[in-house]
Amino acid sequence: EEASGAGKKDSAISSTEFDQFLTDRSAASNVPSISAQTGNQARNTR
Amino acid sequence: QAAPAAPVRQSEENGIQRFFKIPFARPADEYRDDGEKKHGMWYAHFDGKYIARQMEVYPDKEPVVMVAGVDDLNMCELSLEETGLSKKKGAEILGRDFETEWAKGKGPEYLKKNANKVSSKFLQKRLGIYLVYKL
Repeated sequence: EEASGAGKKDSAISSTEFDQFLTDRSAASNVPSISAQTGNQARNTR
Repeated sequence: QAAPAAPVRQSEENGIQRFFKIPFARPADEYRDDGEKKHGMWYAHFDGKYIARQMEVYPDKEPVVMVAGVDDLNMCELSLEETGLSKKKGAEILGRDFETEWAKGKGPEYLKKNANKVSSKFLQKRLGIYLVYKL
């Protein structure tokens, strides 16, 4: 069970914009990305 | 003649070099068994106010390295102050720890490959790039 309202955690990052950035990057990691290291693998769809 | 000891933070004329490591997991995930392992880690090197290098390490993927001037679209565009990283306890790491991870992700090779596009003055100097402007 989750204990909610137990008090503020110090771990939260103050910048919600940065938090959103991290969330976006994390989500991007779930799809094949074209990076310097993966090269053009994504082109080989067929 | 002995060389002066290197400072903990390498200061350059354009700013201080600072290094950070943050789990991708959101605060709620930190208390789950697979929180950090599942989401990976985000590493950053700030050259003064702005990011110079970024690396994303995932448990089941190759690390992704990025360099300012090359991968700007996927990099943090906020200033160090705006990220709030310097206030986040435990987020700042030593430069040598960052470099160790950077090397694992083949960052040095990527940096050399894109040396002519690197925008960080600190990295340009490290790469031996000196921009000379003639008046």
